Formats: sequence, C-alpha cells, structure tokens
Amino acid sequence: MSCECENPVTVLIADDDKNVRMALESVFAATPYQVIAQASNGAQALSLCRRLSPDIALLDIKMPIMTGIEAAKEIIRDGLSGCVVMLTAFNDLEYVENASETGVAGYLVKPIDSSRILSTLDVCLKKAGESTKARNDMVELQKRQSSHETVKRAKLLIMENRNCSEQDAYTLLRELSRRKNVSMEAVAKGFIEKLGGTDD
Amino acid sequence: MCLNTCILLAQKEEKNIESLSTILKEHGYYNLATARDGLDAIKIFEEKSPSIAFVDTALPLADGLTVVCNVRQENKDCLIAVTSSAYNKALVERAAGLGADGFIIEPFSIDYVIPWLMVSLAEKRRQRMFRNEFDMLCSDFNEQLMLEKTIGMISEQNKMSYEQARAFIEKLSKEKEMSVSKIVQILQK
Repeated sequence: MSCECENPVTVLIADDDKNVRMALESVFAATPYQVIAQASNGAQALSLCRRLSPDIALLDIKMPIMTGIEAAKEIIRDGLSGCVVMLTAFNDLEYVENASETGVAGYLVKPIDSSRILSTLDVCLKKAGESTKARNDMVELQKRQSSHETVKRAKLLIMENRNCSEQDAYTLLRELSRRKNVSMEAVAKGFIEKLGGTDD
Repeated sequence: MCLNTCILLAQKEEKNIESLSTILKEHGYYNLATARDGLDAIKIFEEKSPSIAFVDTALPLADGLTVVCNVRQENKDCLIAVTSSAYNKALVERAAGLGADGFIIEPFSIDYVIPWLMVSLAEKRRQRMFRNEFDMLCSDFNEQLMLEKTIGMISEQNKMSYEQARAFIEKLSKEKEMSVSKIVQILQK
C-alpha cells in the first residue's frame, strides 16, 4: 500500500521475476512512490511508458523479448519517463558502461536494498527535474531566437517597402501588436506574407 | 575522467576511508585526498579542487551538507556524493537540493559505488556539454541583439539605411582589424 500523498511519484517496474516485482512493491509501500504499472519484459515496459509516462522507470536488464537497456534507450530518446534507473544482477562494468552511455540516471545492483533504492530514486528525481528545466530553458531560448528572426525579417521588408528607418518599422510592428493584442511575431508573420517574403 | 583525477574522501570514520580507498584503488584511482572533519574537507576543496568527492553527512566541525553548501557555489563541476549511515528522505532531498549528485548509504561496496560513479560521470559530461551549448547560444543571441541595436543606432544618427549602417560596421571591423563584436561593444559604451 502506498502512502496517501497528494502528489505521488509514479513508478513503472520491469522485471521478469515476479518475486522481484513483489519485493519492489513492498519497498515502495508507505512511501511517496506509487507503482502504477508492472512489466515482465522490455517491450511491455516500453509500451507502458508510452501510455503512462511514469516519473521513474525502474528496469531490470536481462528480460525476454527486449532487454532493459534496449527499452531504456527508447524510453530516454522519446522522453517517455522522467528518468530511468536500472536494477539488475549484472555488475560487469561493460553493462554499467552501456547503461551510462544510454543516459540512465541510476544503476543499482541486486539484491534489493530499500535504503539504496529510495535514496537513489530521490536524487534521480531531483536531477530529472533540473534536466527538464534546462531543456525547457533551451526550447524557450530557441523560440526567442526564431521569433526575433521573424520580427527582424519583417522589419527589413517594411523598411524596404516604406522607405522608413528601422526604428519606424519596429514602432509599426509594436503598435500593431498592441492594438490587435497579438504577439509581435504574429504581426511580423502577417507582414512577411503580405510583402512577399517567405517565413521558413 | 582521468584516473589521475583527485578524489576527496571526507569521512568521519577511518573504516569508511579505508573501504572507499580500497574500492577506488581497485579501479585505478590512486590520487586520493582525505579529511576527517568538515573544515579540512573545505580546505582540500579550495587547495586541490578535487573532481570527485565522497562527503559524510556526519563530519564533525562542519557537517557534510554544510561542506556541500560551501563548495557548490564555487565548484559546479565536481561530482559530489553525500554519504550516510542510514536513509533519511529529508536529508537526501536537502543534499540533492544543495547540489549533491548522489546519496550513498553505508556500508560501501564495489557494486554500489562504482556503478554510481560511472553513471554520474557520464551524466556530468552530458550536463557540461548541454550547458556549454546553451551558454554559446545565449552569447551568440546577445551578440546578435547588440549588433542590431548598434546598426539601428548608427542608421538613426547618420541617416543611413539599415544595410548601409551594417556595411559601415563591417568596414570599420576590416579597417581597424577588430572583430565586429568588439566594435559593437565599444560603440555601445
């Protein structure tokens, strides 16, 4: 039984051994971690992550149909889970290296130790939040750049078309944006369309 | 990460220093610095700038979280694991909030410490690359904004067209053998 948290952290566990899955469920009992799905192979884990977007995917490595590493690769690439942590019996450095390069947030070797699992997940979750924020900052910056480019192209077209200064073209775009209550980028796109430029 | 990289073991208990030393030496890390209290740990951070640190929450004089708090502002790249004898969720979250990259529970074992180290080093590399890319994009964008502002300023002041003002700056850059961004910086001042 999970604790009655307002914002539980959702976890998907994937292991081909049912006893391991049950043991993990008991690790998460009375914690903010809520097991929302269980999978017995990598392909099932991947499909459940696609459907449920858990905060954490806790994956075994050696599973039938698709290994945990293969599933992790796709889960990370497509951003299907906040983070991926491997929990496996394999301690060979080759496996650890492989998982590290895939981009997993944690790698734990069995036997199951609740303190190690919980502390690892706590840290991974925090780091995942920071990575998401960093990615959002990057997207925001790229949007600003793209919007700026559009406004700049519109300004140049207006300057050429109306034989006015850059400041006048800017003022025109800003005033229209204010009056129509739409973004300057939207106004700029309108000008680009009207004055014959292409907005690609 | 180079095996010659300095690793700080800041642990209250000698047995923890011994067990971490054994694990790390077995994997080729021999450049180890040790501290038995928080003040010594901070001193070693300042003097040796270790790339990796295992910092005990129970350090005397200044505890592990105080150490992390003190060094993290200055040293963003060091990989820091806070270590503790027991799991305490609030403590883990505080450590992570202060910038710790991991929270390792004693006893230390090779199967626990080495995978953490390898995964965290890879993550740190990715973070560094991402941060560099972001900083570069930001700086390029800011430079572009400054250039456009300067072009606008010159075209207003000299009654030039936008293109003429741009050409003027480019010509100055060529004649004075200075980069466009340097000229923009000077003109904006």
